Amino acid sequence: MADEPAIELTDVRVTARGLRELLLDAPAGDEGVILDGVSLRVPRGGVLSILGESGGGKTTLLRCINRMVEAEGAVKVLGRDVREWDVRELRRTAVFVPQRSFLFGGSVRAELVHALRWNGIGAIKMPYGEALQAVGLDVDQHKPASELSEGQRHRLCIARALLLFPKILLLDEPTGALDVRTAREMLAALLAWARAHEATLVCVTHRPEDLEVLGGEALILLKGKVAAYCAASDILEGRVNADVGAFLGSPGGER
Amino acid sequence: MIGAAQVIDPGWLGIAAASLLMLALLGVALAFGVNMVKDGLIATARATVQLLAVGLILGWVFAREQWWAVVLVLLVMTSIAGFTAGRKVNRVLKRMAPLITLILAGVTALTLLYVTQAAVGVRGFTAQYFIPIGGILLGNAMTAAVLAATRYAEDLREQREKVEAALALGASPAQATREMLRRAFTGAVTPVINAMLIAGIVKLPGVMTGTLLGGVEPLTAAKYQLVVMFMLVFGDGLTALLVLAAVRRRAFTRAMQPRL
Repeated sequence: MADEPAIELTDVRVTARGLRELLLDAPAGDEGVILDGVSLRVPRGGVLSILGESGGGKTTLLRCINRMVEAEGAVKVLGRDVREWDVRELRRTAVFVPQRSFLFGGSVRAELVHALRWNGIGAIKMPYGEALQAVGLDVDQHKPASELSEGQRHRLCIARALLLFPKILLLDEPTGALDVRTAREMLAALLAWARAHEATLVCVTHRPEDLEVLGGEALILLKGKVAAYCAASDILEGRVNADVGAFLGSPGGER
Repeated sequence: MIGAAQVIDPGWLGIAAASLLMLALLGVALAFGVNMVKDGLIATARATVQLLAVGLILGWVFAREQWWAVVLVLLVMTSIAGFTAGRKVNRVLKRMAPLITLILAGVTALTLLYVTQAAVGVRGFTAQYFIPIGGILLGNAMTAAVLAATRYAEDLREQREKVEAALALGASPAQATREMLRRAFTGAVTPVINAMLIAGIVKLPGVMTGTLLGGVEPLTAAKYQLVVMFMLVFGDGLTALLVLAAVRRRAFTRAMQPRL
């Protein structure tokens, strides 16, 4: 049981039609395929970075893992199919932090407490300082969260997730709102936190340089398909096929 | 009878005289270049037919004093209110009419029985009390149902990503949409609360006006208005809460994924 991977996807397929079927009155629309036969396996405590074009299915891939969308094929978290998990337990085990930062009101501390309260976790004696430190955020906890900069808000959202002590962290563009130096510092601190808590890290990013800090493995999604799945160092050192090379070589081609 | 004073019947000529006011306005509007003749005439015709029909039917029911006739009228009013509300909610959420009708029926039955027995002290299923009080209750509860359901569904659709962010942190749909539910509920109950705040100062509220015209003592009329206002707060609020619970259930899958 303990050697089961943290995340295992087998031939996962998500279509636009499948996403619409969840909706009560969905407009007819395109019949595109968002994820097409994606398989991957992240060991416990492992790190996986996901790169790819906008609209290439990166976010949808993360949302399959916390079952925000239904996927064909098999999605397993800690050895168990996501459909067999209690949904709320799944979501606090594999916490997804979206690309946009959403605040639920109040001070920095209150923002951190919201998620604890939703999960019935006592808010006293929680390591708030440690969580903020793990995202490199040094702010007064009594300050209204709405006064933070966009980059700070996003890090607060990640810290909020950390306080649930998830086994798996699913981060969508965690460095999107940060400058290069802050991004490196935050990723390094986050990685240290993940190691200390034996957490698995899955990061969607559009910056190949994030891989220098994150290490581990990398997966490149192009048009919903896995174009490369290799060690992060292979990407950084250019050991990739022509398609992937063309994608990586297009400056600003990705948002 | 509430009071003993006699009431003047306007008569058919009186109705015709009053309708001249409507026609006069349409004419004045035309002079200003606003053509509302078609809408005005349709409204005139519909109001005349509908109200006279209701007057005739209620006259028949009042004359019988049969409990089943009263229940039948209330059931018809409930169905019309439920399906009207359902049609308006349809814009944001489909197929809610049956559930809303059921909720309106339950709330009306409970509230009406309590008010007629505990507050007014009516004996038996008296049409004179049950039908007007039931009508005002249903009309208000219907509006509350529509306001609550559309507000919640629209907010959820607009803030779907934020709701998902909360769900992704382990929140239940109820926790993730708590603020939306609060806003939708407040929005649905605010009209009655506001009416209570200005009651009697800016204008005489409907029930008081009606009972006064019916020849009732002003103080008794005021008491009826109070009973009705307290009843409406309860009826609107309970309807809004139940409708919101039903809408929230519809708006998420069993795997807690938003469906709007």
